[in-house]
Amino acid sequence: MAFTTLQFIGFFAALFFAYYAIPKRFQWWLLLGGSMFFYGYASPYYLLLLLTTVSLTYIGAVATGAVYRRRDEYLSLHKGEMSRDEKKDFKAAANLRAKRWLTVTIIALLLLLGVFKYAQFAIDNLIALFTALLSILPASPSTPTPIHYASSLHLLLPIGLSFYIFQSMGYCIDVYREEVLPEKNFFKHALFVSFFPQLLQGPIGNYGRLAPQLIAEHSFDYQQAKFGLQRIAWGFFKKLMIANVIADRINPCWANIGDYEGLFCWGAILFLYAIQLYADFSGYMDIACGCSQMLGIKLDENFNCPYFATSIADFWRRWHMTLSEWFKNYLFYPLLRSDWNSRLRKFFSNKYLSTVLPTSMALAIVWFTTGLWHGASWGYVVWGVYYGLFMIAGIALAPLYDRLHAISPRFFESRPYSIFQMLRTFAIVVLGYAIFKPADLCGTLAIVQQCLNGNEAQGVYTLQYTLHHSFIKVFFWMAMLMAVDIYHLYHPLGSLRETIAKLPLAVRWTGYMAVLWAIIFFGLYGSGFDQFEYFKF
Amino acid sequence: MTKEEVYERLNGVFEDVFGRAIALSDATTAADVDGWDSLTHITLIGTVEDEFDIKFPMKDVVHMKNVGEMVDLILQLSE
Repeated sequence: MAFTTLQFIGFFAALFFAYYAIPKRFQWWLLLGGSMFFYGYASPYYLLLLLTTVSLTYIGAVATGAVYRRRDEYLSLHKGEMSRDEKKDFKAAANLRAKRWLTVTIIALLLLLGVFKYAQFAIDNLIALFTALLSILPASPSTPTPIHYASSLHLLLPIGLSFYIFQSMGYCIDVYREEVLPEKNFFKHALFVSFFPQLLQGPIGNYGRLAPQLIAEHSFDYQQAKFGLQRIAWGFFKKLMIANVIADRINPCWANIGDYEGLFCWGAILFLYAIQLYADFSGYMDIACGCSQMLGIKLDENFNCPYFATSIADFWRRWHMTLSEWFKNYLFYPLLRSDWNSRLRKFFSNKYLSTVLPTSMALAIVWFTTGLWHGASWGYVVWGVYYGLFMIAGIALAPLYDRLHAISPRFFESRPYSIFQMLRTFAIVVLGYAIFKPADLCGTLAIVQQCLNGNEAQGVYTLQYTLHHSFIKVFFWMAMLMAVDIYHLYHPLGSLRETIAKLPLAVRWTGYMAVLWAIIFFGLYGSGFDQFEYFKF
Repeated sequence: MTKEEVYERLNGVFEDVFGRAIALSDATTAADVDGWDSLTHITLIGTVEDEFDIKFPMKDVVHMKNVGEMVDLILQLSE
């Protein structure tokens, strides 16, 4: 059930009223039932996978927790009887048992993800490899081979699988690290994995921050409900008036790359796609966060003015923040603190090399995985590596930057330089979409070819025709989107909604009505416009 | 080891990692020190571990809030 459908609006309205009408101790049961209905609405097959994930995570986390509980019970029972070394050995043995449970759970979850998301990719690559090897043998096309059967395996990727599997893995790792205690109630645990606003596209929840809110009892709070509703409206504005309208106009460009020529033409298409993707993804987050806020639950933020980032590292601290946080906490840090990384660090006597090389290797692994997380294709892998290279270059060139900064600190701290940094970062991000959107390298190469060999004037003419003159109003909506981001950039701790709440009643309601009617009149919705870009991940 | 001794050695570690002297206190956080990002954080943690011959648990590496918490952990782990 997509957020921008009438079904969802009806579903959420019913759930919201029931949530505050029933006794508070049943509220979390309602959220669980609602989440299961929400996910199973499209296909019960989806629900089966979700419940498999819930069960695997539950068993793994409870078993890990049991190891620690038994350890603590034993230690408290034999307090004063064990020497320091005995205690250390005992703790290490318990830690090893917990690690085994974690490893088994993570492998099971990755297998689930692998079968539904990456099996086809692996098979396609194996087929390509075997075909290349077999091409040297005499061909017999009439006889079906295992390759013919294998190539027909096309499993349907359940929406949100990558998101809730990553959230579940994060929870299991947190239990292993003893940051949180495992949830023993299966149904409460199921709610953490399946909470409907964040199920399909994130934000990837942190157990310690989210789970206690889900099972807490919530009283109706008019202010929170109002702010939540405003945020939902802002999400609808982004999705229906910006993302959908841009997608409607530029989708033909992606479908017919050969018809669009020239650097300027593709620059414009990629720029529009950058805005579309941001409005689409962050619009979804606004609706998710708004719905949760109306229910008294605060989700982690996923965006913080990403297109105003001053470096690629800064961009990833502002874009899809919960995924970046996940990779930092559960992959990057463990890689940097692994034994092989420490050995590599100590291997080099040169301080620069001992820092840059091990870090670069960890970054390469993280960004390869980030690319692969986005989708099972080499295009996404290359896109991840593209960002990885910029991150590595940033670390490798840091001493040079520091020296230049020391020569002229005033220049490097000036506003024009900061604006240059923002434009440079945005250009790198926009360029990256030439790899990200086609998601296959042939598409990217075709775009590059069209940029280099195309006729600029012809390209501009074709693009103008595709966008149509009425498209100009979208620039006004885009300007509004950017204006709100600029407000948040300069008021990092402030809330625009709190500022609006201080305005006179007549002004506020005129604004609300204007936004509502604008969405109804100018938005694109209905069949074919209810899918979000990140659903496919 | 006393808290003052930890601070004395910690000042040297911070100077080594950040390339400049930093006035440390219990309340100092990453936000107070220019250049203390996630990457520098992990380098800092590694250097502190080498200096005091300890190993921080991963949960503390991720959730350490300020220098005061770091000092308390160093004292606790060095026992």
